[in-house]
Amino acid sequence: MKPEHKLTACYADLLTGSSDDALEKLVQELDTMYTAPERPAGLSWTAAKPGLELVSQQKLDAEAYPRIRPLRLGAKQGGKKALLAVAAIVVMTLLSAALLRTTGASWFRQNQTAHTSPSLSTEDALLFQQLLQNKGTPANIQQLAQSGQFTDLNLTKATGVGNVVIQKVYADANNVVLVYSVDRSTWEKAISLPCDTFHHTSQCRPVPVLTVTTSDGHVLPENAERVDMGPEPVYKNQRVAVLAYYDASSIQGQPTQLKLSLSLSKKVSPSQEKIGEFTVPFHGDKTVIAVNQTVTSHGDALTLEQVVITPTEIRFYNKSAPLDLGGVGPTPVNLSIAGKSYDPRPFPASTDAYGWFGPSLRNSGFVSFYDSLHSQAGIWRVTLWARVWNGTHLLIQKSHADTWTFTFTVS
Amino acid sequence: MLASERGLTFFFAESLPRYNVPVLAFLRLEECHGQRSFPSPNDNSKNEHFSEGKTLMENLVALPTGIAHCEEDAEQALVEQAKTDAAVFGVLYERYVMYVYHYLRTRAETDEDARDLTQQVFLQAFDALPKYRARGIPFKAWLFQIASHLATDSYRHRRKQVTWDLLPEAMYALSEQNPETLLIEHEAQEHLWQLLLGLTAYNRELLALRFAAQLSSSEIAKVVGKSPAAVKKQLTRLLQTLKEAFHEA
Repeated sequence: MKPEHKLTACYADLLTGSSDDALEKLVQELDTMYTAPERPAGLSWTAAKPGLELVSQQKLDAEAYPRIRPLRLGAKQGGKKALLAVAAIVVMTLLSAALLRTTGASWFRQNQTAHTSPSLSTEDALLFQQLLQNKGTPANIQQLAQSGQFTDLNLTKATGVGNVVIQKVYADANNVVLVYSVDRSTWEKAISLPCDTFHHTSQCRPVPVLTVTTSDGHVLPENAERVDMGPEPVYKNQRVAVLAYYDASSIQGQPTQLKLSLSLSKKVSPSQEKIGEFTVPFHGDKTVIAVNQTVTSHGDALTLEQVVITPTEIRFYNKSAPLDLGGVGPTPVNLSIAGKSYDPRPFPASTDAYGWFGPSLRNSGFVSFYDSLHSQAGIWRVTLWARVWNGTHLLIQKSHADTWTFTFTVS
Repeated sequence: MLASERGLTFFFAESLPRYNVPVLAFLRLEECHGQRSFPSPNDNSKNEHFSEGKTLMENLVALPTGIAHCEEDAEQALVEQAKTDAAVFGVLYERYVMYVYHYLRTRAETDEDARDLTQQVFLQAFDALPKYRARGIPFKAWLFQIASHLATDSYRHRRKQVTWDLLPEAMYALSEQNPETLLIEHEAQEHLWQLLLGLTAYNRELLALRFAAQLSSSEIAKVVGKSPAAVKKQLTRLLQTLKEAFHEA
């Protein structure tokens, strides 16, 4: 039986403010009655899938048939048809050109180039502005951008998958943060691709649109990204602005500058079109806290090894014995510094459906806090949480969840 | 919000890589609701769409099926992907399968018949999906057009009519209430059922589409071929009549 507020929400068209209790009771009874039958055995996607695959195969077969037909034509007949088609295209082109000249239409003048369309620039500029001012964007990124610590690039590159605009970049010991825009279809293609598996960590990372390579040829994996698709109504825009975090933890030493090369990912553009090369300052401000604490919850031990704090991220490196967590991994749920508790909302952890995308962290790895708490000293207390996968379900009851709390001091 | 559960994308990314596309749709649905903040995973009250006992997949597809234009846009993106990817169609399947089943349970004689018809609906929908265009009819309404036609054809073919008097047992809600309350509930449902039996087939269809399929008036209008205003008026009148009869006893 639905609670009253849900019932009213579900049947807002039937239950108006002036509806009486009797009508509400009737609607409740009807809802209960019509939704009572439980899911029967055999009514599942697993059961339906073979039938659908058969339909798919039949469609493929049907599609293949017309492609075979031209082969049946004699070469002479086929050649005639091709000649006729070419002639028709030439005539149409000449007619169109004449028409454009006559009517004064100017949108195909030769001195115009597609990648410098003024409307596109306006759209990109608005998207970047929104992305960096959006309340979901970490405050530290907003502050870094406002204080001019990002390096402005404003590089536009026309590619086979549309224009790529690199607006700005910032680099520290945790991340190379890139702000760029691409065609929405390109970004959608990237996130729809099967993830890249990193064998040494068993991590599966979504395919980024752009690949970032250091001067020594090291490809920086993308850890997370946040996107903005424009003002409401959303998704009408053709462009997407992306705030992408590339993992810089593998960069050795204390460089003052980083030479980076950007290209389209191979899966997005098989030729891996180059976007550009540039050198940016490397911000060496980094605090490393060796915590090395092990906490056990419901028999599951988790060790917080160290915390690396930089202007772009607070990264908690943890390690555990193999836990069956359904591939989800521990998630930070609370951080308190000097007694003040911080909402877990800015924890993208690694990914969620709020515009954050990122890799999975299976059992060991790190979890992240992307907000501006890097300069705060005092006693830090972080709580990580994980659901337990029981083989068929991801249990969410508190009694089944593992919670680990670690306390350490940042000076 | 369902999508508030973190770990969503990486579950897909690891276990069901092809499901990265639906994540985009979830993202879009989330944007539609204008909520960017997400609750603590410990706070189950805020995760009302994430239920224990359901698989993660079942939870993921249990997003509210609102009728806002924005959500339609988001769903349309999913439908477009499903045209070429059966795995994406799986998300649509999981999202609507119980609505279709509940609706067909009112049209079929047995659980098994309803189950088989439900699978056929999705098979037909998948087959016809490349021809489907969102303009004019939302995907959900289109799905129930198929369901309605299939149920009608099925019984026409078998020269049988739905025997509603066989259904009550199957459609009584299970309850964990005490025996006395249960008895009162049972009597109320029995009474309501008798009233439903007295309705015309068309009126029963309206109720099934509204309560079992959870379609809006405008979606029902697409299925039954009437105007949304007419459907809304008919439903309102029908409920008024039922209300008076139901509370007379």
